[in-house]
Amino acid sequence: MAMAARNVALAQKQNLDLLASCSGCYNKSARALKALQEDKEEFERISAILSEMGLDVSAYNIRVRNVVDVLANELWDTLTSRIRKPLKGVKVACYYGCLLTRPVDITGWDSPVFPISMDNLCRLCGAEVVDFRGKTKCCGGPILISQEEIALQLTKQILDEAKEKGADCIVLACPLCDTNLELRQADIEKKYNTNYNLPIVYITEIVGLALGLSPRKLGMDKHIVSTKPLLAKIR
Amino acid sequence: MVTTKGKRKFVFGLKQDRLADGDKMNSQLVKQVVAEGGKGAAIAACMQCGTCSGGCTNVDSMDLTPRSLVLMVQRGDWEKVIKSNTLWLCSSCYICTTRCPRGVRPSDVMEAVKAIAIRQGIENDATRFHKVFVEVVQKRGILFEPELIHKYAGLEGVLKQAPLGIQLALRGKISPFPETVKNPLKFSQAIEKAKSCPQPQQPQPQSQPDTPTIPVVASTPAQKNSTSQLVSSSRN
Ligand code: SF4
Ligand code: SF4
Repeated sequence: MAMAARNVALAQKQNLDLLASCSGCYNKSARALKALQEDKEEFERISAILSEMGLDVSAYNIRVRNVVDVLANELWDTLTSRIRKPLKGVKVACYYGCLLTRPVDITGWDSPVFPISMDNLCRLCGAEVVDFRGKTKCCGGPILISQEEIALQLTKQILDEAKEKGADCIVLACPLCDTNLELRQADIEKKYNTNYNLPIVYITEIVGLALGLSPRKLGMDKHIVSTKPLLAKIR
Repeated sequence: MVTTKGKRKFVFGLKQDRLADGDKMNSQLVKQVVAEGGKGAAIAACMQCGTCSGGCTNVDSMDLTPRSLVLMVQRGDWEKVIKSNTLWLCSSCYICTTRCPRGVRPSDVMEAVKAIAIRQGIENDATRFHKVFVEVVQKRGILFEPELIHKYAGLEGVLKQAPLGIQLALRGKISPFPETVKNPLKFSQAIEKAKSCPQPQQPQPQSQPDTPTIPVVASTPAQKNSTSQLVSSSRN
């Protein structure tokens, strides 16, 4: 908890909200902030460790946020007026995973059961969103190393459903989910003798494409699973 | 509860392994779990409905479902808890906590029990990975992936992951050189100190869950505590 609290304290020192691009970091930081704000005992315990590191903060009033939350709840209007290249004909499956929306007393900005903010963002970008039941299923990230087989099985279920629904890509907002879905895709293909070739893209990449940024600038060429089929559909 | 010829039968066809029986509660383990980070968990409020198990991502592979785990914690049956593979299969997806109608927060219970088990010195692949992870982070204040893999899986592991690592490095996704936070020494010293903070006492491995005498009295403060937590967390 102290490690997560350190980042929160660093942000508080500058009086800025903390924006996390990873669901896990977001969740842990939000949890740490909640403890620092609401639990006196924890506050004292953590503060002692933080001042050991040379960080003294007496009160916390910042917020911990994540990319989807900010895009959907702060920048919606800005985005609406700036969409240059609607992604017509592109089918996307939005994958939220676990830590973005659960547990609800820590996150609390979208439904933990059926979140829709990312779906709405993709629709705003002009893409067609498939009805994806696996959107809040677990990809097994935390047990990837120690229980590889089970984690790969979980990831496979998500890939299977997205493929079955005819999605051109999975959109997500967490690098660890991406590790499982993208970097392990080849392993899963080999193990279960299937073929996905399913591009996995971060939400900002989809938004960036709709804003008319060049794919190169967005780093679309840096994916392990090629995004070319997806880009071909957009042009 | 009906007793016939010494053999126990339960009303509504309830199996014994589902019976949240106040007489059998043993508050000691509950207290430890609360002290270890299960503060928000209203353990005593669990009504054994099994909603948590029903939604659990990995329940198929677990030998003790999340519901039974909460029951075993209520009963103080540390032996069963520590022997099960449940702790190491839980992928912290928080489905159980989101769905539990009683504010029990099974995932928090799980994390707390894990922490107690690690303090007791239990070792397996999962704990080894977490330990190595913390060591690597503690050293620089930030993660350096190749070192993590090397420490966890040895040279063999590095070689196995090398093709992927090279692909990632070529695309500029990971750096082959480690980074550090601004003052790594201060950071690691503080973490070291935090680790050696006084910790809640260890559970007794030979706990006796089936002694229905004193615990009822002993558990009153814990139950009171949990009831208030139930009220506070009932909005979930
Ligand atoms: S969902 Fe909650 S009340 Fe029901 S068995 Fe699980 S922990 Fe107990
Ligand atoms: S957090 Fe763990 S116990 Fe709870 S539903 Fe997820 S995998 Fe199961």
